[in-house]
Amino acid sequence: MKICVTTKNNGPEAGTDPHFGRCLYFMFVNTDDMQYEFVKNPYSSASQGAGVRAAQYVADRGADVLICSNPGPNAVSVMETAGIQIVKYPEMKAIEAVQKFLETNEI
Amino acid sequence: MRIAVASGKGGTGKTTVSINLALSLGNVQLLDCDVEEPNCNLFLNHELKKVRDVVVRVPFISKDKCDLCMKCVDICRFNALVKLPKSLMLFPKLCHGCGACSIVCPQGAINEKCRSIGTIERSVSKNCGTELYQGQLNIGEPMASPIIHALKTHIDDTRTVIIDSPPGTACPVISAITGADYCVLVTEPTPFGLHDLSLALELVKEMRIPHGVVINRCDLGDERVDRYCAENSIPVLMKIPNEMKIAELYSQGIPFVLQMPHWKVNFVEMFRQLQELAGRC
Amino acid sequence: MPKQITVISGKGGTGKTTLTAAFASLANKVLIADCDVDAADIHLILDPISTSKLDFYGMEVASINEDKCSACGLCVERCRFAAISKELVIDAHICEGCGVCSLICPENAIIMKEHKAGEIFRSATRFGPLVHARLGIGEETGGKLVSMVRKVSSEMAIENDIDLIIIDGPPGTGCSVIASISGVDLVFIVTEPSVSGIHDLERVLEVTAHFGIKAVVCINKCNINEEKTSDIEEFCKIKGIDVVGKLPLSDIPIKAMLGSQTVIEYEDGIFSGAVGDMWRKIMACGTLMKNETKF
Repeated sequence: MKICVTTKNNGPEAGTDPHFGRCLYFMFVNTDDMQYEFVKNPYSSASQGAGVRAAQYVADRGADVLICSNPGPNAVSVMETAGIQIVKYPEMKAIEAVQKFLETNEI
Repeated sequence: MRIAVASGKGGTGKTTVSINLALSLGNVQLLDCDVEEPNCNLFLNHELKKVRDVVVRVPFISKDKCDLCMKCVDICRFNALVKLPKSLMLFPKLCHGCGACSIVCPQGAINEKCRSIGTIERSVSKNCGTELYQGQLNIGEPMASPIIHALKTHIDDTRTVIIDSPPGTACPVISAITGADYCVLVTEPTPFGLHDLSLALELVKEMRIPHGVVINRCDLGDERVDRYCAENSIPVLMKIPNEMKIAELYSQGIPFVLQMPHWKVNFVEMFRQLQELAGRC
Repeated sequence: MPKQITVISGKGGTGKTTLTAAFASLANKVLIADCDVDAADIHLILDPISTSKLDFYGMEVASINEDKCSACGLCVERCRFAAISKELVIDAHICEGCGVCSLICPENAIIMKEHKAGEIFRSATRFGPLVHARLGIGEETGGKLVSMVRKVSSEMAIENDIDLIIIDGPPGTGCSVIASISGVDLVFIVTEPSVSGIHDLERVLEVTAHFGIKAVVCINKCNINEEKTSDIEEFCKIKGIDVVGKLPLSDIPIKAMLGSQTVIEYEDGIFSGAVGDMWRKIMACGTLMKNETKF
């Protein structure tokens, strides 16, 4: 499965970003081989509808789970329609958030 | 004659001035353009009747024709459309109704339908003939300007029209005060008041609308607004003191001219003055 | 990660900025973010010295290349916002930036141009750093500018080792309000007991509830209508929201403002005492304590 985490920067030390639509990076983790990559959020400075487009972006990249503490109402409805599970954790390192998810959920 | 009542920020007493001016003159048309928070009728307390819905056009996508090519998603500058694996999803509140999506759709899959974003209501006073039109934006709707445009179609230019503008200096204010013969700017004699007034003045100057100032709670602060107006040759039309009686009446929703009738004279005098000023400019 | 408090109120003029500034002078080490970009006033009390600035761009607006234009008038007809006059002049204040004119122009004479809408300033004040913005006349605010101010604020707070950010939020309940409260630790709502007070409060609380953010309420000018004040208290009780303070109608905020001071600097009396008590209650809120997890 694929997990997406909203982050404030890129790299192994990156911390999670509580914002969704205007977060700086997405970290995508493939749980099969635990390979991860950071992608810049192309919509972080959209004038309007950043959450909506960012949600589409995450859905297009095939995420099954989103780890983000504060997605807005529009983003939540895209995620729900796309069948992406939203997980809310307090701020921590992105890697730790993924570990926490894997420890507490059976895949 | 169209008189707009505006202010650089909220809470300065715009509605107070609009209502008391309307009631002092009698037989005027009052347009409440503060469509996010229409408060005029809270003070008039007349029976409101709905005149009509205000609608904007939004895309309606035919699922049979749509092949998910995403052209509409890409052209939408408001990010109102989203492509999901099997369908398109519209976020109506982000849509500005520009029609770009239906222009680019190669399949002709996009039609438009009307979506109500608010209403226009009207009330008439049996006593003084004041006719109120108010626009109300539905809760959670972001776009005030279409309601203000719709409200202004009800203007009857054979009468005196008072336009209670929304606060600030953004688009809805421009929509409200465009076409006004005179703009009354309400402020307070404080640093905040002066700063917000100077922003509002920039706007009315740019729009070339003759304007003057009403200083509310005039005994609260200092001379800085007076001095600024004198230095820039901006007429001070009226000063309203910071009286507990006025604040109490406000909180109860009672226009103070009704209980303090000597103020009617002041408002009528102000109207006479601004008629003259509007003619001069 | 710094803790964040946003101060908001449904309607304008309730005393939001006065209280934000007072809190700034009470806090130990703090950064102030002015997200009330429509009426950005807090700098009038804090007297900042700007150290750097950034440009802020809004929606693109249409621009006609007169050399290519054949004056066919199609753009005038198709613009649904009446932003193009019969003389083929685009009013940048009215243009919503939808791009339809540029899409349909048979001569490709219309392009969408980037449009500077304002500036964001990083400044220093006697209480700590301030991040604030100035918008051009007639410019729309929206969530983007608020998000930018908050992003710059977070960066500056971390650089300066500051663990508290106080955000002066915008009025209303729209997109910019959402942008100013998402992800904060506490929302402090200033309301007043007037006819529109409760109504505005209800709307704001709907938004905080969606985001699961703890909210507390202050009733300002509580003595202008005792009945409505108790209505608000009753309403908050039912909703499980703490009323952390009530302030009377007073001329102290204005007198303080006239001298570019906060109420705390201006006097040491009943009014500033009540503000101080409120601040201590706020700082004791669970969500602002160190090592407390939100979920």
